[in-house]
Amino acid sequence: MMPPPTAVGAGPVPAGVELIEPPPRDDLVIEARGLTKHYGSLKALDHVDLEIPRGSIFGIIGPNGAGKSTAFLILATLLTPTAGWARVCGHSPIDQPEMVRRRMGYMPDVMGVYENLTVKEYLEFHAATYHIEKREWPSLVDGLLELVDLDVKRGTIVDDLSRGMKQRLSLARALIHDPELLILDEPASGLDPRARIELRELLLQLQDMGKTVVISSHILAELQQICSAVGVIEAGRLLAHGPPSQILAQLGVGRSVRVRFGDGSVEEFPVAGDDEQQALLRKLIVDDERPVLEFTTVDKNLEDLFLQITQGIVQ
Amino acid sequence: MTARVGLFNAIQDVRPVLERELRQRSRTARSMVVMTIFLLLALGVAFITYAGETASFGNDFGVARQNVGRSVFEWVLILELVLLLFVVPGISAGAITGERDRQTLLPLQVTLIGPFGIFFGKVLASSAFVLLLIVATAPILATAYLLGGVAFSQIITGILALMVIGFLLAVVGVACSAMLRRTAAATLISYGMILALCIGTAVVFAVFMILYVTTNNSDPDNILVFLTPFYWNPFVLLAGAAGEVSDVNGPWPLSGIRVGFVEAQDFPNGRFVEGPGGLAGFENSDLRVVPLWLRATLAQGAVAALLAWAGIRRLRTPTHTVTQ
Repeated sequence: MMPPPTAVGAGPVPAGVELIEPPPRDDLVIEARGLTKHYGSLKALDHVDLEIPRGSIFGIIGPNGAGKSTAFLILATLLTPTAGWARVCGHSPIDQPEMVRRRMGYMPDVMGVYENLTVKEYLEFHAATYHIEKREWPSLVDGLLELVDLDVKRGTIVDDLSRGMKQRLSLARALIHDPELLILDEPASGLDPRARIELRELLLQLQDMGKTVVISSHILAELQQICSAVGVIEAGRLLAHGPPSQILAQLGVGRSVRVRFGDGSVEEFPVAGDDEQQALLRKLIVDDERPVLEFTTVDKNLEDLFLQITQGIVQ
Repeated sequence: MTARVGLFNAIQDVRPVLERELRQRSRTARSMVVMTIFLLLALGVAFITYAGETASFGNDFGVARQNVGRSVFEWVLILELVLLLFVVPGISAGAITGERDRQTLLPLQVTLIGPFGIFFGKVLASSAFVLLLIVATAPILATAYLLGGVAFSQIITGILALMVIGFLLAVVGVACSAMLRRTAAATLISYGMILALCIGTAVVFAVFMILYVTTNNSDPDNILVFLTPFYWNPFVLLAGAAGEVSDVNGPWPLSGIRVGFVEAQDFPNGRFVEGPGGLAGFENSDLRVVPLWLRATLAQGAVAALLAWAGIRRLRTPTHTVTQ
């Protein structure tokens, strides 16, 4: 029997190996092993292993066509994988989609709008789709509109809202049944800086409320500020998986020291930590006798990590 | 028990979709425009029929009044059916493809509303509009009743038949919408299928008859086979529900179809067989055992059920391919 998938960023399961589901783990809200999706000859997902801890904000980063949306569609009970298994909130999105839907809110990358419906009616409709009792609607809608700061827009036709407001309304819709997990596909796409900041703060607020948020975005700086862990995906393969600092450290690109010498030249040296940084400076000044005028510690960020890991492969 | 709960939930799922659709439709000018045109055309046909009939009868109007009532009734029903054949695919074929175009289908599919609820919510929304159109024209049919020649029960069965046909047409439109990606394609295929039901059945019947004549097969049992395609014809369903088979005195379309159907059953004699109680041919035919309207409803209902199954299946998630 195969051991439970525990290693963060564990390598892909070889083709042909039978995947046996281990018992659910309470600390994980999403588990996936060998998740694969083929569209003909195109490998949209290629043996992806994923573990997302409960209560975290997990970011999926990757270029267009990397497989992020495909992974989200599988986890959101909309798409069947070609191979592998997944467990969302303790249930299979393939065999027990209704159990997953009760616990998960999904927000696709584009928010669909019903013509001629007001913000309040839009949320009430979705409350009905989750079989929420009608008497609960007023307080539920009021609470959600307050949370997403749209309470003054309750009577506005949805189509008349700005893009940022629509995204917040879409988020409110995904929250209508109080799910423990939110899967958000590119929620910040097309938003202006103010709307992005508002969304970021909202997601942090949701995390404080105990919800797990899985989010994909192109705006890596946004993710770095809120994500406790990330997965880097390219050409359907999960290349790295875990807290950004841990991945950077594993890759040896966690930090570098930029040194300006007496002759005016500037050089950058990768270092793993403080000890290595001190050793480097001692070597340059004492051993190599080079005149160091200035040194600056440069911490790598998600963009560096992304560029380091991905190769710009387009399928 | 589980099945009952499942069925109850499935029926309950229809309500949110239906309510939202009706709310949206009620706020568009399109519904009012369609209803106004529908009413004006029905009024126009009723008036033209009335004027034509009264002019032909001259001073003998009292004797012929019931013929006028019958004419108005049948021609208005025929017009309503023709209009439904045009209107219903137009309003139902965009039901699911429209959700895809607006990117609202995926958020709906991740809710607890199942494919049955989505599909029949859409079908009932289209049917509700059909009901509104038919109810709006009911006073015109009531006028025909006042003129005479039409039983009250026939007014009711005529209206019910139109509602059944409207529902079946909505199933065709929504099923095409579920199975195809684009509204234009779904609308085109819906009209194609309806054309096949209306014209294609007649063509198939004609081919059967030609084969019959050329092979000179006089086995009367074959007649029932020849008639079979017409069970899928909406006009035959309406004729079976609202047409007259005795005392047929005018060029009435629905009674004409129904009488023609009875006559065809007596083929190759090509005539009614007189007998006690009116038309012995009719009395003795299978039509008496299983009414024509029921045969047609079952035949067309079977097609609709098949299409509904395919449409619901297409909406089921998770699926192998998500079309957005």
